[in-house]
Amino acid sequence: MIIRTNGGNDERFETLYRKYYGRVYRFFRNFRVADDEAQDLAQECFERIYKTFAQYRGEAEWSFIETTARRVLLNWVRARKTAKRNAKIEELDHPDFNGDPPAPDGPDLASRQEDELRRARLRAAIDELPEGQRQCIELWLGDAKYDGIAKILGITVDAVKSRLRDARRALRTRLGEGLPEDEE
Amino acid sequence: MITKSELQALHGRIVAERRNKVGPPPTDDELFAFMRGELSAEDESRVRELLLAYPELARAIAEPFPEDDGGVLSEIEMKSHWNALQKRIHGDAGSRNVRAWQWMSAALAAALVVAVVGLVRFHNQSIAPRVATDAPQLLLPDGQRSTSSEFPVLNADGDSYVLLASLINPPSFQSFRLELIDQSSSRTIWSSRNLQRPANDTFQLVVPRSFLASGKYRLEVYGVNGERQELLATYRMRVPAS
Repeated sequence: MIIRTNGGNDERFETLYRKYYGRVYRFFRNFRVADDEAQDLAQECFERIYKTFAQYRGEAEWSFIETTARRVLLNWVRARKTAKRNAKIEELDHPDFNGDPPAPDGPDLASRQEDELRRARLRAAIDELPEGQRQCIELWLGDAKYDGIAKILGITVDAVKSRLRDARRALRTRLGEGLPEDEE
Repeated sequence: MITKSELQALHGRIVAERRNKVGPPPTDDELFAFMRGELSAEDESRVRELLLAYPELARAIAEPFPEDDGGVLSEIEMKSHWNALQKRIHGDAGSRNVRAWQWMSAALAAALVVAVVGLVRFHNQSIAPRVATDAPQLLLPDGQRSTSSEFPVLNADGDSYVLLASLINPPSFQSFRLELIDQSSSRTIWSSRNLQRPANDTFQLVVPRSFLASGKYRLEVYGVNGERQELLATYRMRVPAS
């Protein structure tokens, strides 16, 4: 079956699909999007491509597809943020909650205060890092990969590794305990 | 040893604080310009700070593209996805006439007045839709003003603020939605129902003066396609002390 396009570009569109759809789908999956949602996003990407196909001149096709896919991903990220903000508020006196077991006891006051103090020390230690190291640590905590951090900070991947190493060392010295090892 | 979950909880706090400080996230166009190195040094630094406050956008804009498909889909799956894509595109084309008719109806209306009926929830007063009589104030989207970091001050001559939120070349959507957010608390203080695309791509919003205390606000416009929402533009504004 062939998609109808206004400009008689049916075959070109199908060729693009066959050539790039798998890569686009994999791009979303690599971003840890669930399987069915990754399919939905990949379809949205190609739907957008289809709709703007008349303006596409055939040059730098991968760049055209990559930009479209990235816009779809950015929209998805923003929409998830909105969805979180608009999350339904459950009422605690709703009958559905009646059968729930009681919540387990929370930590005692002394433990909570100790945790709070520990967090405050860690926060202060991060704040006191040199700017470049602090930015690296924060992006790393935000789950960015080394090459992503490098792109955003405009430095090399080696520089990212070096700054993260220095930051870990500084935090270990300051706090007397280390950070978990990176999985990358 | 500091645990990963401990670090993530702390990072959540850092991000929340930073968002309150730096304001709304960068637009897609700003992000692409940032990645292409097309921003001025000042704007580049601003977007970089914003990305620290919105790490999920940082990940999305910097996520590397795979070099190949890695055999992630079988031939059967490719065919199945292709069929689903065709259905999606043809289904959309089928509803295009209906949408065009709806837009024409909207264009025939003398003016699109977005009634701020949702305010009743917050203020015990009823606000009826009306044609604006106060001088309207045109808002330009963030990133489109010459001084993008500033909050334009709203005129406060009458009993209402009449705001014209103008979209610039918006993509097509089934409907649109507006949200008004208190910048200091990041709390949504009003949101609209789904709206048809307005004439001249400009939403007219009548906000009673009593509703907005002195402070900073932002209006967000979303495009809506079914369950999916896309942030199209934000408009920052400041209400002066009366």
